[in-house]
Amino acid sequence: MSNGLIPQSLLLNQPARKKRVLAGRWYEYRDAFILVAPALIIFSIFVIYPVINTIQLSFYEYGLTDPNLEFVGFQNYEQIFQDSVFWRALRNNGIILVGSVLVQVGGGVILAAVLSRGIRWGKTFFRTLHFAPVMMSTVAVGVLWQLIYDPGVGILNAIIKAFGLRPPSQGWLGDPNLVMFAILAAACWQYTGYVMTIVLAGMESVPGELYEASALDGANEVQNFFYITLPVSRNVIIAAILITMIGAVKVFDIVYVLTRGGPANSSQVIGTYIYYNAFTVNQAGYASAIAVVLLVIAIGFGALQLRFTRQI
Amino acid sequence: MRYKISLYVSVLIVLVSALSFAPALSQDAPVTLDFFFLGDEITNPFVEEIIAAFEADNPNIAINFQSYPNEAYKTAIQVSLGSDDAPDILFNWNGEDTGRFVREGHLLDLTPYAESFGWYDAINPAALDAFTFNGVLYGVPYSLEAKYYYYNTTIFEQQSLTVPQTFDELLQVCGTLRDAGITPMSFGNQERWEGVHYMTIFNQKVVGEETILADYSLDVSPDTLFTDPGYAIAFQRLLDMQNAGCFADAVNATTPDAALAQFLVQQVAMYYQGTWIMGNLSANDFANYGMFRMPPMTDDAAQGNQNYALLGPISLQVSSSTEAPDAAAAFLNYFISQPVQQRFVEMTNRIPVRADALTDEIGTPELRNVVSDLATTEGAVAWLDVVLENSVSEAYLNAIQEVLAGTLTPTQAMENIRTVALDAQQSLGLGGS
Repeated sequence: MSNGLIPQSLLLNQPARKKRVLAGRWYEYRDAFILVAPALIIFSIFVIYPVINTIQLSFYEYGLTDPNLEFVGFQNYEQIFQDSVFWRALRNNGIILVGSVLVQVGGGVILAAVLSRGIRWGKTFFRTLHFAPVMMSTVAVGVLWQLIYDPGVGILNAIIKAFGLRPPSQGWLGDPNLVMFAILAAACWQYTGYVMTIVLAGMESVPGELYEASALDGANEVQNFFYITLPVSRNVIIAAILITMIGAVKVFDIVYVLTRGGPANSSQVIGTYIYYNAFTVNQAGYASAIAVVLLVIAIGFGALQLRFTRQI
Repeated sequence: MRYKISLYVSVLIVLVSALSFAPALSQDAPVTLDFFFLGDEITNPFVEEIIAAFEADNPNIAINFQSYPNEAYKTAIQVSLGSDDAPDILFNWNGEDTGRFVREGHLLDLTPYAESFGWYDAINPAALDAFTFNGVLYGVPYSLEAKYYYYNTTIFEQQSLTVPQTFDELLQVCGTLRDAGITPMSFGNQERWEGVHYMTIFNQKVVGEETILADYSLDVSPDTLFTDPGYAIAFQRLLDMQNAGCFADAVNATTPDAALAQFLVQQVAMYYQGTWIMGNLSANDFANYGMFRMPPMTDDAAQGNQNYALLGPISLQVSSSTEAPDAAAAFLNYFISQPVQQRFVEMTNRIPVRADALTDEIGTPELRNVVSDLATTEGAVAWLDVVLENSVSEAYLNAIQEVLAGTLTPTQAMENIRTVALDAQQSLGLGGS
């Protein structure tokens, strides 16, 4: 019996017909398989295999230069739970996540709203200006901010001193209580323009009739922002939040360039802590276990993004 | 690791010049040797020059030279040794940095080459000892590196300061300079190793060389491992310097390069750094400087010999997986030959490993002064982070940053280090554990 949605051929269960049906299906999907095969092969080599390999290695104790692998079961995972630096790194990822969502997304939305309807001239100039840091390599951004924070010649300390204030004696990147916020500022400087661009694309697609109607009702621009722009752009903003959150979970480069996780591990994030264990203290097995934990967290956020993206 | 500097003097006097010229190797089949080196703008041109000369003498040997800065090198060498594409020749420090690679089977036994090339007669024996494990030689030292205070003679003259003769006088010099509105010292501890150099010499001066050598080996009773109260006092000495205003602000946020720059632009009066920066000073035409070792500590807490130096050799080693061990050994032999070592002194202003490479005509007066001064010392300690087992070394490196940042007291720092050391001792099966 067919419900009209399933092809009649698939409901037949005679063996000979079934074989022919399967052959037919293969023929039907063959071109699709051929087309995706290159991507699938590359994905398997560079993503699937390393992931499986990392999971496997996370059950061993070994160093990068140590040819002897010792199977230790779940010992590396048990160590994670007792490792205060891991939890500090996770907390630091949390600081970057919350800070990035607040500053990058918050700032990006405000900038996008201003550029969308707040100003009448110079839109292209300001768009380019805010997007420019995104075009820079993170290493270059890190070096730039290192100079800004430099305790001797940095412009930040010079400004603070110009106001008669005393900069932090341990430096912005040397004080365990300040370092994460210093890193966050550099990251937000680079990526707020990126979020702005995404959100601006959403805001530009808001139908003009809505604003015309609200103008007839006497609404001002602030009311327009809260009652039209934000609700209509909601899905784009959610997508921007999820992209920012995933970026915060897997952050590595800006932290590595600015502090390498220091001073004394106070700015470690999970990404740099994996690197530290693998390449500095030669505990590659433990680093693999942390990488697996990071993978699980990233998959969680990825699933969240997928769910919201489908809704969009 | 201890180095008998007196041996260095002996070598200076009795050194034979058997290795004056590198013999050309009869290499039939063409080979390419990968050479990983820790280099900078001073040493790289020297290495490139001597590679070109070696290749000209040995047309069937090509050398693929890859130079890395300090931190990048530490990663690169581990990654490549762990792969199937290890370099044939590599730079390395002594102590645990070599010991680990020996245990893991990455290094070639160079003893037969040392005997046939006559390295035992030509090179400072103490430096060779530093790369000898269970009677087997795994590295050929090519330079010695010592730690000194560099001071700006112009600033010292302007402030009527003299070279401090004791640690307390050093603190007084800091106070005088601060009062004059001058930052006494730069200190770039962002990469953590400058701090560990301070702690290396403080541990030796306060705790004493015998106790630290025993503790660093981890092969002592777990009950006494890193329990000497002198270790916390040594940390306190570092804090004493910080509290006396010796250091520029933000030591944990300052890179060694930035610290050197502060000294070069005369922003600070002193800088405690290795002899490897003498080449940088020459290259920048910076001549108004003098040098002195960390001054002796004269209080009762200081149990160590106060006439020790902070000194370590650096070496070239050969990978056990090389397919051309003879060619690699021939290059090492060329690298430490007398003419090449003289060229090394001329181009880099660093301490050679052969005494006959340093003459009145070759090398700067400052370099000759350093060598003469080292000859007056009664012993030496090598860098703490190089000697200690990796996890204990890391604990020390982090603890120093925390003590400087005020997030750990000296006592807490030593408790953390002892905990890590006990774990390391147990996992290595040392100390009767």
